[in-house]
Amino acid sequence: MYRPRVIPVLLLRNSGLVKSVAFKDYRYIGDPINAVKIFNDKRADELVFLDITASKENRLISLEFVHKVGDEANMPFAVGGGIRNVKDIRSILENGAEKVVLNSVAYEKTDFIKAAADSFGSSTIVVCIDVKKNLFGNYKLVYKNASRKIEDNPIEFAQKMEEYGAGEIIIQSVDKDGTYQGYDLELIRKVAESVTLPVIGLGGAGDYKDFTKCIKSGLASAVAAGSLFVYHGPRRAVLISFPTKSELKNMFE
Amino acid sequence: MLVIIDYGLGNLRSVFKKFKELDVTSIISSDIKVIQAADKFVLPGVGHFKYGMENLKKLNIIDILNEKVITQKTPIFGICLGTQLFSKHSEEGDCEGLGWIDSEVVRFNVSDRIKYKVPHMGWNNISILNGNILNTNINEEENFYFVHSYHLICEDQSDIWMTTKYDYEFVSAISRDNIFGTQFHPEKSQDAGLQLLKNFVDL
Amino acid sequence: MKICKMGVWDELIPGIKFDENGKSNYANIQIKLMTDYPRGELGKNQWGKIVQRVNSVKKDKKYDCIVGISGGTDSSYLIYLLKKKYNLNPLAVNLDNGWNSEIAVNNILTMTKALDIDLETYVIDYEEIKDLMRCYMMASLPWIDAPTDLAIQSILYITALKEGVKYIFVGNDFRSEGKQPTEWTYCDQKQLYHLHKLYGKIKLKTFPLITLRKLFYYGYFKKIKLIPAFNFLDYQKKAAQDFLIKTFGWRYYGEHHHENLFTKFAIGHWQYNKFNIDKRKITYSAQVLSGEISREEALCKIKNPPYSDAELLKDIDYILNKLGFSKDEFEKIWASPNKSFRDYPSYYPFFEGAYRYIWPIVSKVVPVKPKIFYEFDERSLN
Repeated sequence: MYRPRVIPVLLLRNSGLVKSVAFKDYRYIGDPINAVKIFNDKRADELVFLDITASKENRLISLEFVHKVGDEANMPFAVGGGIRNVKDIRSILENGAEKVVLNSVAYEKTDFIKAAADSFGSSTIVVCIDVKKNLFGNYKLVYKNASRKIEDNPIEFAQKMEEYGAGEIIIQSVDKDGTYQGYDLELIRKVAESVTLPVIGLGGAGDYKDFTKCIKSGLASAVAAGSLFVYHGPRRAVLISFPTKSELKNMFE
Repeated sequence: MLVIIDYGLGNLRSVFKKFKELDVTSIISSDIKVIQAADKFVLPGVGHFKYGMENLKKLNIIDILNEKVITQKTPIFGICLGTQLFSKHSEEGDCEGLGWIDSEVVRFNVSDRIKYKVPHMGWNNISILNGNILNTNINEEENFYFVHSYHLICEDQSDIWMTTKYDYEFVSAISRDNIFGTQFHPEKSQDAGLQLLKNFVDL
Repeated sequence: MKICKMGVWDELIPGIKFDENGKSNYANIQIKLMTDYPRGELGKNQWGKIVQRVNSVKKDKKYDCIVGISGGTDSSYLIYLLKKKYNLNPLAVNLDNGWNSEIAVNNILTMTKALDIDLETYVIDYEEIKDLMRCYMMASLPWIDAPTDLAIQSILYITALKEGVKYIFVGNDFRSEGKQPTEWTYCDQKQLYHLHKLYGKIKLKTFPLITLRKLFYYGYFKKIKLIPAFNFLDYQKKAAQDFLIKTFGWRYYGEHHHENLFTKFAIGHWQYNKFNIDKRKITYSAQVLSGEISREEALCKIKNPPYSDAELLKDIDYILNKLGFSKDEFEKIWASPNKSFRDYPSYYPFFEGAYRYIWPIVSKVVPVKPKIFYEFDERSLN
């Protein structure tokens, strides 16, 4: 039976992993390569690495880092952070990543999505849409690690991405990030219903029940989370975890 | 020597790493001489069918592959796009394939485009339709990793090795004599995938 | 090769001496420790008093005590005892040095969840500890896991101070660990800073290290006490492992300390193959004396290397990559002459000279006599 993917999303700052709340208050989580090793042992489905300062600093995520992950990871992984052109994507894929995650460039150079999909195949191109609610409760899109915003509607933007050839969409709620309050199911569902592409929900997962809700109510094709996989307990101790095979089976039955 | 054919598409390193894990030396190459000397092949691939065929043509290796695979019966294992290329023709780019398997590659035609998103991306299990020597220790309960928008339709049912259900049953693996191919990625399918690759290596 | 009749300590152990009966001075150290901390009824009483004191100083603080937890047998069993048998409410503290194995992480999660114990982790900046590990290796010293050891000690005290807790319990067990020769394990803050000055590439901005003075201050004035609980409590490693596996689904990782890959490398390869140090001679001897294994079994186990060549081959690429060493760089380091902690500045000369005099003061800071003092009594380190 088809089982949706469960995907840890790891944020990179300099050479270390960090975790945030609402894209702020970054805490150091540790060495990324050891995290990969542990996720290997836990048979995690897939990993996503996002370099959160790359775009702002006008540079690409470190290829040396991608190569190191490629050497160690037993599962497919996607990489994002400062990707601006076809050469960037080619370098990243050559260094072992299966897919690339595009964020800022999707707003600043939308045509690029098409070029990327044509060159490498849609299934290699993931667009990450970061969404924040404004004062009136309306969704607005943000990028460059939520430092810039545009007033576009996330649903229309997702449809545009589909049109331009993206293979997958991650829909991330900035407000819910790191809060354990549950996904923004309404947002995820609206996007999932408006495109025929797989949609991955991200932001706010508090426990495994949220994963079930994200698929059943949110109509997502896969679930992603950050805090849930790296923190444990009331003091947010850093401990990497991932559901067991039987937990995964029960989650989506 | 096991040769992983490099025609510019697909994550060759992953496949190479898996063979290394099995203590098998493999070589990534598109060199005619290397292909000539090979005793086993892997044809990986992710991307557009048309580009795949064009790249193979540009590299001038289709003739030697025909000779090795069809005439000399050198075992070959296709992965994802690689398997699709074995077919006669694909809708993707309306393009002719290698024609080694009597099959057509079509886009997923699902009944509910919201419920069944395309590409089919994620974990799914398999049903073995026809046994073959690579079935050792392969469990139908195991999940394998899929990422594709197109799948094969086989004219000859005896070519179908495995099927998988995603809205409907589709061909997820083919085999005919020395030609094997999976739609899923064994190199990304953890232990079950590794077992499959091991079975191919042990041939 | 002369081997102690009471264990497996042999001629290669630094400073070993045999009496006319073939008994070594290391056996004496172990016997003295066992006499001072006999466990049994006396141990129970001593422990009872400790628990009483823990409860009396607790006041309105959330936690009674701090417990260092690694995912290994000792600490996992200890937190079980503290919570379930002695009704204490510990705060478990784990140090993440970037090398924890999946088994260790899983064990920590399993135990803290099952026992409903709060967990605090301290994640050392990986670039900083990597730099320090490299320093110790470039200095060609035997104990390259020193930075982690020193960090753990600091973190335990810092956390105790932060939480207003007076007692730190650790799972160290001399009956299964013995006393390693100082030459094989010595480390202190003074030496760490010196080595970092010599070989360090990046600045240490966040590395947790408290000075000896601060340590004294915490112990003497803040009255924070660090106690190895198994000096007093009955504890048998194998039985504990079986219990943990059956009751909690805890998983075993192989040899002592193999829950951390760097420690496994440090003991199993670096010390074993470069310095010809086999720490198991000490640990197995201690276990022979405490009745956990027979002398024959110990002699047999020691014949095989702690880290098989096949396993090492699998791990070495990963390890060198993580440390940032190329194969050539590592080969150079491996070939450089072995040094001892004596070759670099440290507090050691002070301790060696003054230990008898400072014990009355030290005893107020560390309630349990440091094992090194027992070693001073039995042997000279020249």
